[in-house]
Amino acid sequence: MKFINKLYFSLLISCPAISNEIPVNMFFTEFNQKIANLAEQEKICSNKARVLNKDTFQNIKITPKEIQVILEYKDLNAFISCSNEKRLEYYKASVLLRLSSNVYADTLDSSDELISTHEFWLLKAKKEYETIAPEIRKKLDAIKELDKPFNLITSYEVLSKQ
Amino acid sequence: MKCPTIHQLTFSQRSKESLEEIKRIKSLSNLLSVSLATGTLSTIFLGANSATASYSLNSTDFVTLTKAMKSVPVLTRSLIERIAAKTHMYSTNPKEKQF
Repeated sequence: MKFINKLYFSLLISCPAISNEIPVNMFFTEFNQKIANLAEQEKICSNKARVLNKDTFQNIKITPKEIQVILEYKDLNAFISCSNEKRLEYYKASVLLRLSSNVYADTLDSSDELISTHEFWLLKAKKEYETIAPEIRKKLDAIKELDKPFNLITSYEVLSKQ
Repeated sequence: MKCPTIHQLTFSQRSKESLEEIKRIKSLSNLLSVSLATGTLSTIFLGANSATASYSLNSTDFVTLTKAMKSVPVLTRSLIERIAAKTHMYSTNPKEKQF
């Protein structure tokens, strides 16, 4: 595994030399395709969102504020997990295009910033989530329903009434 | 669906931050849409002679470029919907929730 990582890394560093011979258009086409694939996958993940069952947090003592923190984190986590494969493919295409040409620097800067917004939000939400007691988090992490995309507003309305 | 008129609407600090975030995302989205197109034209025409430009023009995949440009609003919408949902969830003011 270490050898494969070293090989991949050295290929990545030497990419500018190799890529001079490969038309930039190929990398740009690949980049465009990955953006389209990611958007398509995000749409699929959003369409999969359902409402959480009112008994989702049964037997777990949590405050209304904690419900908000939990749902925000779990919603982002589920959405990113659902689209993760396409997300990683996008980042790979972005790195290769960036190494191949300076022409698309502005495009890549705005694209990377836009697409990584979900991941930044997840990090912030995770920090808040980790303020909840570990024993409660252990129970929450065992609830598989929270690992699949769900509708945040409607689920919160259902769960906050309990 | 017509948006209802909301009288005496005031925004909490969180809502104001959410609106700023939406502005930032919209700005990025517009920048990306423009730079996808201009980046393509730069690759084809800048510093190129007619032979190179002709080759670049023929080899540019305008189909996937169009797909990517159509995808930008989809990605943007997903982000803005999430901001709206999160702000709605945290809001305690009924008028703010309605907004």
